[in-house]
Amino acid sequence: MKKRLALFAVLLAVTTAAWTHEGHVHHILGTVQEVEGNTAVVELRDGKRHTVEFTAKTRFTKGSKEASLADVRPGVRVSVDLADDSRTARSVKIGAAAK
Amino acid sequence: MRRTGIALLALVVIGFTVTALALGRAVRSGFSTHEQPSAIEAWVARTVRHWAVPADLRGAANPVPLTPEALASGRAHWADHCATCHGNDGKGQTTLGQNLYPRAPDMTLPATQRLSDGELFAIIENGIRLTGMPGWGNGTAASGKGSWELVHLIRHLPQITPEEIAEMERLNPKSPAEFERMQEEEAFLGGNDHH
Repeated sequence: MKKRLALFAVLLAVTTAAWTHEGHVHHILGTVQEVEGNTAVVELRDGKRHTVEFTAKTRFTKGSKEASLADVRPGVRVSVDLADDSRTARSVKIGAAAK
Repeated sequence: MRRTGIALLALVVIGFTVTALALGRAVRSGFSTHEQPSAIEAWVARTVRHWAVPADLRGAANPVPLTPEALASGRAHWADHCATCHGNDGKGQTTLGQNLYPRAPDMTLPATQRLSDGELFAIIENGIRLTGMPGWGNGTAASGKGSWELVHLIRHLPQITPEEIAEMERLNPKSPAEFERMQEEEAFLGGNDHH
């Protein structure tokens, strides 16, 4: 049991470290500015813009419901988990339209 | 007879030279988990994994009845112990899973789904050597029941619903920073922040 807990703690530490790895962007919160094909430009809360690319593997959700790329529209708030290239979206949570 | 001997010797020398060159190149350039395993490595790993499963387990059927309770228990167990690498949907699209060597597989695909119940159970209980898959079992009945419930969940992964994934996300382990980030995300997506 102790070994399992220790292993789990190591995995958790590694995951947390990867999440906060300097120089790597793995997660963004922002408002969609434009969508063109399978890419979107997201304005982050600090005003910077980040281009996100969607693939066939990208998972879209809105609340607890499944969504699609069609739900990613200008003005909508999104939370995006990115791959290590900081561009490819692994999953996109779609929220409310910006006020 | 002598010709055959020379041909065999030549083959051995060529084989040795090719192996030495490949090893020399590998040692010079180093090893990284960022590369994809070669077809030979994948074949060797799958073969060894097959041999690693105890013979009496290979054809074993799941002794735990498939019920909503067993699936719910499997989801909670998976979210807590497995999703860090495999993802709640079992597709392996996680930071950790995609940087392992070999990568965490997409378990919704036939390569995993065609394994027998017994093979899946043995992999969960005993792990797979030289990969990131640990052995989670401890030989107790409780551990065995948990692993068989996970086998049911693995069978269910290709049909898992967004609602089930949302439930599992709440059960995923979180550091204080991740918990804070989750709350921040919920507030932002709901338009309840002061952005």
